[in-house]
Amino acid sequence: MRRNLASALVIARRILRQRVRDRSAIMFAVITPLGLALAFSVLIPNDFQTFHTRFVIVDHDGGPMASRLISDGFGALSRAGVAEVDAIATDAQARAELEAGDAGAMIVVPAGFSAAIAAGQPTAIQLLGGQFPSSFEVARAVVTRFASEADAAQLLIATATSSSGSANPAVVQAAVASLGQPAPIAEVEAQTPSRQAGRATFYAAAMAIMFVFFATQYGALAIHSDRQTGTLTRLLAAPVSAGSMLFGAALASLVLGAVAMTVLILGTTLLVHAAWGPPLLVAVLVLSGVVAATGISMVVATFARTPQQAGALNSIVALSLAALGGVFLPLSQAPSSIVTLSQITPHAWFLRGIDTLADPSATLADILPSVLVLLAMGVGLGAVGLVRARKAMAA
Amino acid sequence: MKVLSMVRTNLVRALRDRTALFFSVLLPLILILVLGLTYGSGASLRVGLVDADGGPLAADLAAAIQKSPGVAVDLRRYQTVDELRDASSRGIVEVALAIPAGYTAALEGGGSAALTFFTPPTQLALAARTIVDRAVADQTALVRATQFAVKTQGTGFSAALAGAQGLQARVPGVAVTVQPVNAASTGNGFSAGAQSQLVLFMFLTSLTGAVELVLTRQLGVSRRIFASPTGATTIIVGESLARIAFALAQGAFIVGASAVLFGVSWGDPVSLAAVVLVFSVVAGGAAMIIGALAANPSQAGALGPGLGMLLGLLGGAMVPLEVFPPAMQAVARLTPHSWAMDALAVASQPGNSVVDILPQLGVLALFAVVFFAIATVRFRRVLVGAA
Repeated sequence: MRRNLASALVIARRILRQRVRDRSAIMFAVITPLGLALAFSVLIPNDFQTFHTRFVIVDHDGGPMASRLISDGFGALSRAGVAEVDAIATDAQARAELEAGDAGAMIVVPAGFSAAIAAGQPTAIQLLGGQFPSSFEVARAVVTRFASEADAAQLLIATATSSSGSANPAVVQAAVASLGQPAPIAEVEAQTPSRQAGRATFYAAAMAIMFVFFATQYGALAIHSDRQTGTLTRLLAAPVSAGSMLFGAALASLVLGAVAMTVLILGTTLLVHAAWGPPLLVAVLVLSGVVAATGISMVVATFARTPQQAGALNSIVALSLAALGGVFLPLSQAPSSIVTLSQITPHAWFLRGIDTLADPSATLADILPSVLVLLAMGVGLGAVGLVRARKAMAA
Repeated sequence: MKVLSMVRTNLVRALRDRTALFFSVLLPLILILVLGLTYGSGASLRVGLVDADGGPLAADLAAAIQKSPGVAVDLRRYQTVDELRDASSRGIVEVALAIPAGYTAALEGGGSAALTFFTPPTQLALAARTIVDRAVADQTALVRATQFAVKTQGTGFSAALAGAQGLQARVPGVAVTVQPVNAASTGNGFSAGAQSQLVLFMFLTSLTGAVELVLTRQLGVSRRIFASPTGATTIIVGESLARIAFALAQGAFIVGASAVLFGVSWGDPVSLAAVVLVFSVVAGGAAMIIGALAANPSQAGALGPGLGMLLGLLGGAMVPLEVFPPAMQAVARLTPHSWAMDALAVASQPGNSVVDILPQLGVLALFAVVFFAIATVRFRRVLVGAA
């Protein structure tokens, strides 16, 4: 037993030494993901955190209803820091700003707007959109919300007059008075902590889990190249069991994966200010991710006959799982069918854990689902890989 | 003839490499599919809802939110408030709304009820909220009028509600006329993804193929051809054509497969053919440069994909250029990718012809000329030096 462990350690150390000498491993497992994480986080601004737009308003009315729309409706957006709202004198000027992309939407309040609402006459607010669909939708929502409030007032007056057939001043007055009372439906806000990693952290973690497969492949690749060079036969003739060789290879993969991940975590923390989360919890999650990747690399390699084939198959599996697992786009923006499908990938579980850690109050219990699924994937698939590899070595 | 057989040999070699086939055939399709499904629904708003009430007013509100005019709402129902809160904090839903138990009963009884919104601290959530608020405001107006009618006229709630709904349809109200200035881009959700994947993968595959070029050199194939009565120019032309044919095949595959599988409309076929052809020359030229510069296959193997990804990212073939800061948008103009993407976008607009993309094609042609000039000089030096 002790001798088996000792030879496993010797094998692991040999594989690690080979990899340190081979610069292409460092290139694939560390430099490329670091570069991509850097590029992604520099190039893609944190747009979902800082939505900001500008609206231009042409007020031909100047009446009380127009100023209510501007100061209450759009004013709220401006006070919340979502949009700048500017009054523009003429349609032509506003249109020019819109077409130049300097404004997200243009709102035109027609002359006689306030008078028409008071008299229960039809009137229309004109809304023009530019190059930014989301800005346009926000402006549209504000305008139609205002319109529905105006409709509500008219509806209440209409209800009051419909019963008596004509405008009974007392009833209408009661209706108008009831408008001042609190609305029957109240809106209560409940803040939820954000469990979404920032852009820099997301891409750092996404690249790390995608490329860790290129680090964890080397254990199985070493067995393959030993077979090709004939070293394997000679080792098996020596008092080294197949089990301890495979164990050594798996150990080497784990160490390589953990080292690559650690370098990436440190690198992205320093370079792009990725906020991975509490170190201890990150360590638990990352180690589980490395175990999952090692297990997958081990089992995938057993379907290949040469080291070249094993490497190719491993990158195919790694990239397919990565694409499905939401490495290129946050899964939160994907339709539910994709989200469900993504659960078969370690990437989705790992990134879910990283998202959870964005919440400062998160504890081990919160990331436990991710950790357990990742460990189960790694141990389960790794066991299958070891059994298959052992059978192949015995043959 | 010699040139053609060099092209043929190169393509056969590429087709035999099944790993390369995965990267040039399956991976782009997977990415088009994932990106298309994700962005394909357009600007749909993800609203999470817990309906603990189950009454008709709660159902009306949910229906009104789903039918919000002008926005596609993806209404996702959750069983418990905890699930809803989790979905909200993870950004899975942009707006999260809980209708309490007894909502309908309270309003029907003339009382009031409170809706709970769960909002993560992002500003887009606030912006998206306005869209759901509209549906809530409509129901508030209706309930207010109904409760007023019940109180003043003594009618039953449901009769008064029906009356108010009838009146709501007839109140002149304030109309909102809407006029988008720039028509939204045409095509289905897969189109934009397919355009960027076309540009990304033509270049990436071509650069990855540069390994073959280095192998040809390293194995001494080039030197042996050179020893035969074949001039350096013929070899360079043959290898270049092979690289261009390689990129062209990749481009044709993505265009064809995405059109057949995902119904992507590529617009004017002449413009499309022109862009794909010129861009394959650019990509081929870049591959020749890598092939001439790299000292060994593993160097080319690391340099090619890395450069292909980086230029694709810089040029807006991975994420749209709009999200870049202005300085980066200027830098993007230095990549052939951004010009090709631009040309494809213009070409896919209805009514545009190849004339409208002449400027972009001109810039791409310039890239091609410069790339081939550099590659030819370097390659000739390598060939003649080795001989």
